[in-house]
Amino acid sequence: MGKREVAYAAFCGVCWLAVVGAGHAWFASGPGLSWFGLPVSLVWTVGWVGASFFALLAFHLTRGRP
Amino acid sequence: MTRGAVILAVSLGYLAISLIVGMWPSKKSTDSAAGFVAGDRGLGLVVMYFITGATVFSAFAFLGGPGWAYKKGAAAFYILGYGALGMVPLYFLGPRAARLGRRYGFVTQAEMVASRFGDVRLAGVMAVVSVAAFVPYLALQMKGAGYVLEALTEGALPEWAGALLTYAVVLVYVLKSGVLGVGWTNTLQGVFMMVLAWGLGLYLPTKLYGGVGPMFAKIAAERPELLSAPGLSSSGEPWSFLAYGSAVTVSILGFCLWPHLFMKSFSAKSEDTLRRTVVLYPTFQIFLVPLFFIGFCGVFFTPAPDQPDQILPHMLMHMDLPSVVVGLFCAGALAASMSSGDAMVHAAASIAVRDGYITAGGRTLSADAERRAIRILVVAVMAAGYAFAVLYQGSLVTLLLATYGAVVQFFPAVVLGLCVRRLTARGVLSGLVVGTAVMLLFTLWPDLRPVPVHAGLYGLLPNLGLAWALSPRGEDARVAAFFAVADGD
Repeated sequence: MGKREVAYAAFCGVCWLAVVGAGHAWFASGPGLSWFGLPVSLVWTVGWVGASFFALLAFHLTRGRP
Repeated sequence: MTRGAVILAVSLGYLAISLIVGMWPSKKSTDSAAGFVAGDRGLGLVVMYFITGATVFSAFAFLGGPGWAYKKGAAAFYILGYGALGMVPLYFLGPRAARLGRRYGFVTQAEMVASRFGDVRLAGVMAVVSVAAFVPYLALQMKGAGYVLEALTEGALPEWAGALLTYAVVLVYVLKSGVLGVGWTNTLQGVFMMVLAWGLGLYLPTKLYGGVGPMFAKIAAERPELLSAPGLSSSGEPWSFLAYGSAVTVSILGFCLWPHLFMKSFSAKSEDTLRRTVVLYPTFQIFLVPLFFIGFCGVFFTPAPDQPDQILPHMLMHMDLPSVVVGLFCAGALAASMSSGDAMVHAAASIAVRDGYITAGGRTLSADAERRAIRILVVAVMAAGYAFAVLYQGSLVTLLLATYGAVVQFFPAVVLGLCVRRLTARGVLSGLVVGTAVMLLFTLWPDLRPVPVHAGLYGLLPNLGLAWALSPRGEDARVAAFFAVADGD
């Protein structure tokens, strides 16, 4: 694996930890509402989907670069 | 016309359109197995996007997703969590598999694994596990179609008859057109589902609560436990993060290992088409969000449905909505069921013949005989799924999670097999058999688990350990040649 692959894999790992690890403390604080009146837990998870999408998109668009 | 007749007419109209779209590409592929199973390796980006997206966006998402949001609250978000990363392995593995498929003629993942490890028994075991996992997953789709038709026609069409009618249509276009029929109907169904999910997902909260924000404000005030991640378990107690995390992990690891998804690596027109399909895939996941809104809408809805999975059709039947709108929803739910069920029944039959009979059994078949055998198996798999659907009375999502536990056991054989040269047939086969047995043990008797982690992870640990421990260092010429093709050298 090259540096880009390692960086991308690390990003996915951090995303995963964010959802099931660090997110725990935030969620455990209660059922707060966030943007547009949506629950924090939903915004957090959708944010994760978005971050994953843009990370892979960036990875794909920069293919072939060192 | 009565309300029930209008709903039934709209649903039947949709089934007729699906049948026409599914039959249309029947002359566009060759008579070979590669034509019937892999579409002559010529699927473009649009069809690939919908065939992967709509295959996953199933009855489980359309009924089980709202059902979980209604009953278990934030626990339903695990579906978004795993969907975000579930296809990523295919970005890296798919092009390798596609190169191998073109060189060696593979159309299933077990054929590839058997060749990688030089052991046809692997194909046999994978075929058995795949078909065993597919039957309940297919049954889940049939149950979804039956639920909806029974609820929305107010019992005029019982669950068994609704499932039978819907899957008779699927049977015809899968038999006639193979993977191309699956691909083109999934494109139609995918677009239809997206429009319907957002339409209903925004309309119902507005009608019942005045908007999505006011709906969540009411839930936060009166049922806060539903919005605190990771939501509630089946018993109504707070779900543990260990169980939530392991459900996400098992689903991520098992997602692209589902044979009907992985096999699409052999169907894509080019490696770049495959990569772009994977990149775009999370955009399909966002269409689950309005389905969760629908589930949350039902929290204060009276009367309550008999089963959580019925919350959406139940609300529609008890609200003052035009019959055509209810009929369109019914058609959307049928689309969700069919778009997954068709890919599964097609894959299960192909695997049983290619992996079980030809590869593991060491038989040879002419192109005509092979295609005929796959068609016979399509009917047999569908009959088995239908019997399961009629007899099983549990939750849709719980059933899905159990089948993921079986498929995730392919991880060492497929994922590591394509990346790690050291692994051998002895290690991978031992790991697969022991891992599957352990997974089954903890699925059937969940109280035996020391901690509440998904049964699939318990199976995966000894699976990985055995695969590694029983694979001595060293590499032979056959493995080197295999990796040379996979690497594109």
